[in-house]
Amino acid sequence: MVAYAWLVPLLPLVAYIFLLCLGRRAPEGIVTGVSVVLTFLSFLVSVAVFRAVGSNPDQVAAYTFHWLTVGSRSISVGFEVTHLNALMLVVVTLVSTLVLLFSKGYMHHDDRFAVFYQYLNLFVFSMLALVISPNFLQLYIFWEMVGLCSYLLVGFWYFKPEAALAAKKSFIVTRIGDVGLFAGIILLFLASGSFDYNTIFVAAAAHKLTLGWISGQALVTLTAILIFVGAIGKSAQFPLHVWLPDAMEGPTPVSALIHAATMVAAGVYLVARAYPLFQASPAALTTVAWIGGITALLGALIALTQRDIKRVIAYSTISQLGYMMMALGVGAYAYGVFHLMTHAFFKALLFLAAGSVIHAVHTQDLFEMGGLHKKLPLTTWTFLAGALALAGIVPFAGFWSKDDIMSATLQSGHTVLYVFALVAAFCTAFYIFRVFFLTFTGEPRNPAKYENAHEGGWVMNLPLVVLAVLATVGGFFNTPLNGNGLEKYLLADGAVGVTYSENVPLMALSVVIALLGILLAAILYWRPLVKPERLARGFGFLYQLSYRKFFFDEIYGAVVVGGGKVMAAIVDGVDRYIVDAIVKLVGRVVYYLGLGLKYTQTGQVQTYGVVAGFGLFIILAIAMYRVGGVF
Amino acid sequence: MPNLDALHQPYWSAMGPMITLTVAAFVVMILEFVFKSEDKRWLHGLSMLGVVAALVVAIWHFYAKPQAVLATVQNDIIATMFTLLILITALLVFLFTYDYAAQVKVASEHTYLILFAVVGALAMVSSVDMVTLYVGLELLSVSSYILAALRTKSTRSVEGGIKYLLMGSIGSAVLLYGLSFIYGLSGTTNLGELFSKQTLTSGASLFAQYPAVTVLAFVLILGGLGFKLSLVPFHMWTPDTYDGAPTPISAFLSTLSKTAVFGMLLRMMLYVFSVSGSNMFYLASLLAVASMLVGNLIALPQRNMKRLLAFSSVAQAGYVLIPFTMFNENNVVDWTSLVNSITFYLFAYTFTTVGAFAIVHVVSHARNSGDSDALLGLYQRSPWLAGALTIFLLGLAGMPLTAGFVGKFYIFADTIHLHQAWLGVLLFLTSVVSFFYYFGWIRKIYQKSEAKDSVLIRPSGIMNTLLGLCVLGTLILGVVPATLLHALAKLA
Repeated sequence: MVAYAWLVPLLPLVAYIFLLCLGRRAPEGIVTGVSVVLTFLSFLVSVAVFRAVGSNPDQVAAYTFHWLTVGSRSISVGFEVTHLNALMLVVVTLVSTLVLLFSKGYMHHDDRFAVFYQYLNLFVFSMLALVISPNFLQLYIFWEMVGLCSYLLVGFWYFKPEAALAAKKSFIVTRIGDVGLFAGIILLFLASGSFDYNTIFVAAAAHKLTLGWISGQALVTLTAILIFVGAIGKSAQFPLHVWLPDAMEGPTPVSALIHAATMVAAGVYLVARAYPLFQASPAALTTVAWIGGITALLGALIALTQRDIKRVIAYSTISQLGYMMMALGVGAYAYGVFHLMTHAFFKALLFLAAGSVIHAVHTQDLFEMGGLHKKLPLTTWTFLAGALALAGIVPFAGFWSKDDIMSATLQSGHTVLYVFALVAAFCTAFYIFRVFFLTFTGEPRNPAKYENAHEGGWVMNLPLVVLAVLATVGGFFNTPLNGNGLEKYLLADGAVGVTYSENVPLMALSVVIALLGILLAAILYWRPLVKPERLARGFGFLYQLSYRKFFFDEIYGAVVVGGGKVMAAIVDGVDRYIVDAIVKLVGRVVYYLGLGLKYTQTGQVQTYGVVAGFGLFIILAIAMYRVGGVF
Repeated sequence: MPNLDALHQPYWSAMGPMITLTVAAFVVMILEFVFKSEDKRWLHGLSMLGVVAALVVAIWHFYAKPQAVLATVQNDIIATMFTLLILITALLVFLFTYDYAAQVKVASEHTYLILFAVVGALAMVSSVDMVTLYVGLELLSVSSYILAALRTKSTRSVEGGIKYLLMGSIGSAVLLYGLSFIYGLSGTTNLGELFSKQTLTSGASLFAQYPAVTVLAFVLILGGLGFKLSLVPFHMWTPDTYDGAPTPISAFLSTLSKTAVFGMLLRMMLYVFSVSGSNMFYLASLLAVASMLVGNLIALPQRNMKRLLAFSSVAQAGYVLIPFTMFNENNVVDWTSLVNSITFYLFAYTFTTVGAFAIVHVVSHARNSGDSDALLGLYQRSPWLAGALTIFLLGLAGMPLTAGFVGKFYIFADTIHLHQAWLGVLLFLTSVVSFFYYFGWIRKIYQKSEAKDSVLIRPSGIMNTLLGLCVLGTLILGVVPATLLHALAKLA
């Protein structure tokens, strides 16, 4: 079965090409049907691969064939199956199938319905191909392709200026990270002569990665951090997290699939896949842990005060990705990946439920909603499941994975990071239940919009239900109850990370913290004992700091964009009056040379003969002169 | 009854394609003479069948043990690869003429003339005797002269044919003059014998004994073949002939004919001059540089599509000549790499050039104009043609993911590796010049046409097959160059 894993990315590609051939006027039913069926088939193949790898770990291998030779170095392409990417394949195809189905309801009657599905299929293909790549070069190609798809989909409603701007911003900010990744890959290639993961990791473990200008250990640290820079961009980690909230301008299914469950997790996947390299450098791991911890806290703090339902969830995504990075950084490899999986389920659920709400009331402002549980009962209950999972309440999925991460962090000796994580966990419980209470309980704040609200039909409900089930029970893949099954599965890839034991008091503590967060949200927004405005005024500056997102956009706007504009003006001048002038001059000269030569082409065969004869004579003269035997 | 098996086998593995095509040519010639019907396009089918049969024979014996028949014809790596390429090209050309003959009235004699020319071409790449080589060349040339002047009603076609005849004959004469010097010095016309004689003892090489005359002979041979390859300064007939000739014949002249001549040049250089103890191949770099510069520069102001492709083929021949300049006794280990670069480039060049000529024919026939403005708005008229031509032009310009890029890359890598980087740099710089005219076409393709007659262009099924094959060739060799290299590596 494993040898057929290439089918997984191929099926969505087939769907994409098929839709491309159908054109943009294709009927909605066929478009959805083809996409969902093919992606679902791809999901079935993934499950088969997942099981095959689990039952027979020997099948973990890279299937490659020779592609081209550069000098003495040979570059191959192909695919690989490991325990890690088998799990990723299942998660990505599952969420993709559900989102593709959900989009049928959400994008109904959009003028470019078919185009939307084309892009989505292209994205699913690229994401799966990224996951299944056996080397950094292939990974990089698909890394850029998912970035491109994200760009196209964020800017899908390109006629909205905010969407166009957000698309541009997300593309440019992630590009900054990509430059780091690219530099890292090139350095690894120079040092090891290969792009293949395994070759590079073997060389790194044997201290054989060397370049003339840098010591071996420093090179490992440098390349690991450069690769991590790529992950920072893609996974919206501090300080490149600013693009993700803006990317919420895209249609909500896109936010669920790309900006919650899959593409943003690619950064985490990259670090996990390159884990042997990170393990060879404690400095790099510490960097990953700290960036992750800071991001987890920062995202949670900003999410406390946002008014836009999607932005709250977006900051929550940033924060949760921070948790994953932190887990990888402290050596809890399996927990980081486990959280990636549970997060994919409950965050996709939260986004889709939010999409269902937005679809019903046509606003994203929390303060125009309220009381929707009467109109949208199914959405309410599924959202609640997702919120409990995110807050980390027993026995929902997020509890198991987040708790594993927190106890691992404390046990690894990063006490400060543990405190960060604990504070973030409190904030998480608070902000998500703030959203829940504001949206679904109390009195409608905007009666007109409330009246027209309705559920979105089975295509939207089914994915919600499936994801709600997964958000509820998904954590049981890896609990002491099943002997930490997923952890064992993932660690079969080799000696990656450290294992930590469960710690019941810590678990209890984090649940209590989360419950406190929920309680605070309840007394502010459900049964208001305290007016939230008073609390906000009480915190004054701190409230503003969170609401204004720690002024990142303003600072970047002034420093980076402002600086960029000055630079651009200078470069523009140089380009326009020096480079351009030279290029134009060269172009003119070359053109007139050609024009001049054109007149030698007289059409007279006599001329042709004379030119040929004279040319032959010149070459003969040179040859004879050089030989020296005649003259 | 003597057992003929032992005799039969090597004949067939070395000469099979040639024999098959000769038989096919005579059959087609007789049938053409016997049947007086108006529409003789079935002759194309028959000729194609002959080519396919020859192709089957060639592939059947692809990995056969290299051996010589009568010390004259052999099936080594050069012969095998070039035979394959020539037969593939012949197939493409016949597809092209079939479509062409449906639209333009041309004498049906051209079917067997092409077949005879192909037989000549095969002789040129698989023979190791100067007499056979020359006979092959003349068979190819004489057929080509007639083919170029096939449109007897068109003065331009006849004029192009005559010019080709005159210049080609001068080339043949110069070449023969060079060959006769070699014979005079060595007393043999057999290249194998010549090679072993020269390497027998040190100082036995022709150059060591008669330096001046050997170099003279080399220049004459290079120059003589240079006429056929349309290298600068022997190139001036090219635009007139390509422009006047029926377009499939232009495609034939710029690909198949050149491939054969390059094969012959490679053979002569390796067997006769490479062991001379002194490098004289730098002289070829003069022609390469002149061709790259003049070909690309003069193509810039061209408005006629076929003339532009003619000049572009002058420049492309210059690129292919670069590896030829780098063979010498001290880098024998790199010869395989050089031969590979040459072969790969010729494959890449063939697919892109035949494809480009085919689309030029379709467009100029549909719009009744050979001017490059006929391409305006091609995207609206036929997205398929527009896309295919874009791929061919990107291939000719050497953009990544096309065969042209890989071909240029290999040549460039050779020049770096063998310390002739200046040639590589010139290859790169002149390619940049070529972007101007190739991209000029691409711009026109995607520009909106002002003309009212924006009718759709629908090529025939045969034409679509031809274009499909060329697109596939260009892309497959561009994305997975390993396919061809693998075949080459197994032969070597």
